[in-house]
Amino acid sequence: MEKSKFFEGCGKEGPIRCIFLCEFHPIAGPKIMCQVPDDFISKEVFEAVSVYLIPKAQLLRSTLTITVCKIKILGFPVRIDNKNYARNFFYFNLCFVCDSWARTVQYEPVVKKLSDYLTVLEVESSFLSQREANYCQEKRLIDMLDQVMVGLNSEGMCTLIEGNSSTHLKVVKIRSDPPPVLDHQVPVFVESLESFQGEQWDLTTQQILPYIDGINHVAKIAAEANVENNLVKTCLQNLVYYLVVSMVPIFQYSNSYAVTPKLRKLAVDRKLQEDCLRTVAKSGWQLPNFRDVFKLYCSMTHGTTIKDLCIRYNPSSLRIDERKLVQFGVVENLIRRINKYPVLLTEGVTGEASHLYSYFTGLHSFDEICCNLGVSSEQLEDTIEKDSNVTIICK
Amino acid sequence: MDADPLSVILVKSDSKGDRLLFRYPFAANERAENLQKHLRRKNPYALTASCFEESFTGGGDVGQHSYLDDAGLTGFSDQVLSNLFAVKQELAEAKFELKANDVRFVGHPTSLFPCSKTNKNNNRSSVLINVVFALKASASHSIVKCYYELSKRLGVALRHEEKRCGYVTAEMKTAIVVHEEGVSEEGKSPYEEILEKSSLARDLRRVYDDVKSTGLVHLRVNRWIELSFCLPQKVHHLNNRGLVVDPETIDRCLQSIRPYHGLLLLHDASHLLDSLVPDASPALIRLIKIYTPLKSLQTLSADADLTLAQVFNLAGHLVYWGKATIIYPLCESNVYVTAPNVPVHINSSLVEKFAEQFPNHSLIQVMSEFSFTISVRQKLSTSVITSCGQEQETEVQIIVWLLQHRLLVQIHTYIYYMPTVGGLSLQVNFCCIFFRFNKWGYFSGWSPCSTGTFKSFKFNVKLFKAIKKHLITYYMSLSHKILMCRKTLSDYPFKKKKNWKFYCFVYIPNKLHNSACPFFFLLFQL
Repeated sequence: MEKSKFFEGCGKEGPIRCIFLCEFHPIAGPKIMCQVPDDFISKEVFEAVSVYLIPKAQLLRSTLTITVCKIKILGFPVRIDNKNYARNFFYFNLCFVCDSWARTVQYEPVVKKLSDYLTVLEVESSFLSQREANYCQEKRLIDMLDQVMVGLNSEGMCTLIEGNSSTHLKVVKIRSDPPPVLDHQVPVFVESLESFQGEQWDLTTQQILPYIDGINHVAKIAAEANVENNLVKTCLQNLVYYLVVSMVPIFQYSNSYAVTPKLRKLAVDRKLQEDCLRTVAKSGWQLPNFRDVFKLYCSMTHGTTIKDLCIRYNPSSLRIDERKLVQFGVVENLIRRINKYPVLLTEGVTGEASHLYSYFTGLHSFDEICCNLGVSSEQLEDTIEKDSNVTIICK
Repeated sequence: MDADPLSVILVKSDSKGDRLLFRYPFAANERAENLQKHLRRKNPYALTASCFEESFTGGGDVGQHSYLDDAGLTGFSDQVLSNLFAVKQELAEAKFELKANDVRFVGHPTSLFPCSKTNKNNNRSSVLINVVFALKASASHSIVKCYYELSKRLGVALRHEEKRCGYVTAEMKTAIVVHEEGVSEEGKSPYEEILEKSSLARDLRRVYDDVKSTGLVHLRVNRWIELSFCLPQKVHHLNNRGLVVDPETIDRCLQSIRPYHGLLLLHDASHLLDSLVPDASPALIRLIKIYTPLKSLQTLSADADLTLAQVFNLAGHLVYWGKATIIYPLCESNVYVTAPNVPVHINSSLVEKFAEQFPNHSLIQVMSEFSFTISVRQKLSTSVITSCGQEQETEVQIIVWLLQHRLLVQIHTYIYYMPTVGGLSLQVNFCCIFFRFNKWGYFSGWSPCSTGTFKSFKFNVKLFKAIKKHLITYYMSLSHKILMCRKTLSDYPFKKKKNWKFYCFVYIPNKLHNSACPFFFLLFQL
């Protein structure tokens, strides 16, 4: 079981198995100074990889990760040049060891910061180089590495204090950049309100937070909060990165949606069903029937607008709020929006909608055009219908 | 793109020490080094940037320097590279992976024993060679794995050639002579000279160029050992821009391939036959010759006189190499709609490509017709009024073209059984659905036959046992028109009796395929 779950390339993050410090000894050459836990890295393994831990001068101050013998060693070689040392330099490398299947990119800044901290300690008080002469310092170093390993593995952070200097280490999760935020999108909170702390955000974000209600779109938030449009987008993108909000398309009765394969999960997952019912209910008094909710989701297909659904099923009589229904579906990725893209069929012609032809390249959706021009989608649809040169692609 | 190699490097290590024999591309690197030398020579007292980096600056705010520039890999001298890649004997014959800032190196260090025929001194000390590929650090794990595989294959081929005729020793000597004696013309890079003299260097250059341009390598090392390699991420990306397919994803999909699926070649069948190597599998050639997107894999296997397992393997192979994709066989009842995020706009290259193939049609017009779900039958009936059979033929060709370019997705109908307002209520331990068919084997309706707790249905135990047995056998073997929660069956063993439930998610295709019919009848007859 263990093996099938963790293989190289599974993309999971793993704990730190060992932290060790190695140096270039003036007599003995590359050598492990100390490690926690003891004897994790055997002498043979160390000798085999020492060339990557104590590399040539060209690779100094680079994060080097070497994957061999089922382990991954992440190091940051540092050399301090000073006449006081035996060879006029002190060369050391602080390394984290993980399993070979684990991702280690998130530890890179931590290794670098810890190395820099040790460098400061070494320059100020010869913390590392005087270790052999002073047993007490060696003990403190081992304690420090132990603290780092336990702290990072359990909490993801730790604070080190040694003499007058201190440092804070934190493992920051690396996520891919969120897509750019567009004018016509609507931010929706996905983090629960209890765990949300408004004060931890910057002033601009705090200014726009009250306007995020799941209805206002970005351009409207910018206007109402009196904040520059691009600033709003940057703040929202930041919130998306930290999974506080999620961007959904603006709700209109003329929108159509299609189900995604994830709908299967809703049919069997009790917890998701409960969340769904609580969210889409019109009032908190009485929850709607799950079968009705499921039926509404299943009826969303290409070409069926929300208006059609409302006429067919009358959601309010089923105690369902259609706006919340759509929002929950989009946030949970049960349904996806079908966007309409007007495209010009032949170039160099004129028609009813000539003044809008620059938008009809197939790259701008209805929402985008409506938001830019400040017209309703009905008006736009009417204009396009009158013009035979323009067709609509839904995708 | 992340899948592109930055550089290929060949390093040897033997009793005479380690040496970088060849690297490609080399121009960028030369330039960077010359520039550095130039800077240093200009003023012996001036500090260069690298001096700063090497000396300690205290604050630790020196940003991580990048080993990448516009031209590719930069900042590594030959000595540093050969020192890094001439690995210790303990690390040979295993995956070697090193990441330095934003560059990742991957290779398979291979040890060779010099050929006894050419080695006069009878010196049997081993030589270690390492073909290393430099990639961007952001390259995904599966890309790295593919390059590792390529390096390993090259290593194996070279080992064989060394054993057969001392190829590597001879090529090594050529390269070392050039490195030591210098180039014949002034201002010429030693690597350029090596390229002219050594066939191994030319092969490596070809590997680099081919992977970078097409993702496919066909090569004969020393004009003897056949080496073929495919980088699926690159190949599929070239077929469809923006689409990155990992080999792992392909493997996963191939595990769910079923007899009723069909095959769709992405290029012309005759074109594919021409591109095959002379000793390609005759089974593959036979399959391609009788290929049609209208038939299921099972029918294709019967037509080509191959076993089903063989056809599955061949189909998987074609998918991996970016030559084909798996579809449901084209038939009139198939329903299609535009795929999400298709890159169709006025300036897209697809529009022109389409116009070349079908001069009388416009891609935009066609895509707008597929904006709403439409079955092939409906699509054909619209053109029937206007024209004859030939027009219909073109319509089918258009659908095939759109499927090849992944512009369409097929829509399937799934039936969910929800006996109570709360969905699949916990009280229902057992539910089973009967299907009705008309005399032609077409589905005509369904009804729940029994729902309720298990105890009240004791008389149904026999029925249940039979159904369970058949469901499982059919699930495992062929008829996968029934998509059933296999998990619920295994989670609640029959013996425990309490709290187990059993439900079917049934998918009824518009047209039942032959393989599915016996099962439905079986249920019915019970």
